[in-house]
Amino acid sequence: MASETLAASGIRGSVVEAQGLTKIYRSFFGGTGVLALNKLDLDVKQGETFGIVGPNGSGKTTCLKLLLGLIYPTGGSARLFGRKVGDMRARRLIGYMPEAPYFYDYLTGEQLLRYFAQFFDLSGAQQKARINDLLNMVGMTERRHMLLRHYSRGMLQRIGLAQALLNEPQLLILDEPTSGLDPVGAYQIRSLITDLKQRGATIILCSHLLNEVEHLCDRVAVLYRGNLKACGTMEELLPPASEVVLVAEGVNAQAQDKLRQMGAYVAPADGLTRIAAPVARAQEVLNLVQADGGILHELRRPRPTLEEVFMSMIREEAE
Amino acid sequence: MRSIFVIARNTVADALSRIVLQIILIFGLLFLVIGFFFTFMTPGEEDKMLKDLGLTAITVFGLVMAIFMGVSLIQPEVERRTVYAVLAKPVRRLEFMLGKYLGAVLVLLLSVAIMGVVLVGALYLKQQVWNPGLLVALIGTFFSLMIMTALVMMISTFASSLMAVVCGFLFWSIGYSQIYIKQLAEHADNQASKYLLVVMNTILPNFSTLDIRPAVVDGAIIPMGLIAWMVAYGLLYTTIVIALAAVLFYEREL
Repeated sequence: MASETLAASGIRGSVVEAQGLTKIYRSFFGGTGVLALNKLDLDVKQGETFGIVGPNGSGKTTCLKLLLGLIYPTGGSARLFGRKVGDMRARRLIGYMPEAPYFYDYLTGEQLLRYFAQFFDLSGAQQKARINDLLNMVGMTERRHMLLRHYSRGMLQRIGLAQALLNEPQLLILDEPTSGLDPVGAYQIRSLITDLKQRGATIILCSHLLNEVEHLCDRVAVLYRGNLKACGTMEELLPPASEVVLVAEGVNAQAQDKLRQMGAYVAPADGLTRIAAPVARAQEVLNLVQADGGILHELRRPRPTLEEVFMSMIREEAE
Repeated sequence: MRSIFVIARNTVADALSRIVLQIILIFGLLFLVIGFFFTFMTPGEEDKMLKDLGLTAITVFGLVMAIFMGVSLIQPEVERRTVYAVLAKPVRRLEFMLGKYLGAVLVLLLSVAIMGVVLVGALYLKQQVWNPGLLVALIGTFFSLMIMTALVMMISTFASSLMAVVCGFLFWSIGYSQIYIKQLAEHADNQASKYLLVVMNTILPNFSTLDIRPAVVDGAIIPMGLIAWMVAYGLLYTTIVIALAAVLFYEREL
């Protein structure tokens, strides 16, 4: 029942809660097994776009499978909308787009959506209208009668996203939604996600494309070898920049020398001068540039990217 | 409940689109038609030969279909990960499994019905007589196939497809040899062997119970009690196997 509200579901803010979620894959004969996820604590709030990042084998997909009840935890527990994983009332509020979606290739795009739509409490007319809207939204209206076995990877991703949205989910779980797509396809999927985010959907985005996560997500959890290495907003995760960068025109040689004496890095080229200086001396540098008749073109304080922070975490872990 | 029918319908569509099943059915029908033209080899007993050949063909081709269907219900869905998107919807694992099984049973029913109509039609053309015993024999065959599909599906919830196929043929062989297994158990000297044979005789299906081909071929009258017993046995055995399969599938990590 897509129209079921969060309040009616007994939720106060948290859509996903996990405490000490642990998964050890054991072979048939037992043994110590492989630790895929280690005591993960998660709290995804309503309306939030939450990213889960990590290299291959870090436990991202295991985490999603646990939340969907496809596998069972070795330890800990998770709740969706305040209910146990597997509760059908919670399941009605979820949309899930699997990584590299595999669907029944003997169906057409429209038939696949109709098949999935029948699992929800939608009348025939509602199903039809919803399918039409979604096909239009993901740009697949013209390919609706084509068999899935003839779809390209990008088309399957789009139809995968459409099936995840059939019930107008309050929680959308996306596993590598742009994986394997060309730049245009990836951009279109990202635009769709941004659109859904603006409509207030709670989204869990699992990806190893850090740039994508950085731009789309409000908060991010970084997993590595099954352990949660960090979790927070970009502000919390990315350390503040230690430098400011200025690009100015008409900075004479004398001013450049003064800047260098202040500890700034100065690089003149093609009439423009690029200056990098410590944040503490930013105002001083700016005053000096402008006092000498320099015209400021650009002033920014570049932060490290999520990718840089992530790689430094991985390096620390390896050491 | 609705999910079960939605999944069953999709399973039927899947099965009908599979060229392998179409070929098995076509071969079954061809076998029946060819048999019709070879009755001259048993002068005076053409109808017996036609009935025997026809019912055997339906059983054998039905068996191949049942094993193929049983194997393709759960394991390929897990291997191809098509099950993920379905179980992420408000669909219970039990509903998914029952829907798949129901779809397979409908396909088998359709196949047995098509081959049965051809057999009955051929006999009617030959003798201008309607033999109701054939229908009972077909019901017995259908229940055997239902049990086989359930058994193979149950095996495939935890083992590979190849293992499920091997087990399927093994069950079929044992299922038709239960009378000998019982005799062996009675005369076994070793206590362990005796125990093993008794367990096999008790747990594994007895397809001879559902096989009334000899009686139908001989034109014997089939008592109503036997039909009721066949139906009860088939339904009970299938229910037990499906319940076991449901537990195994529920426990399975996907």
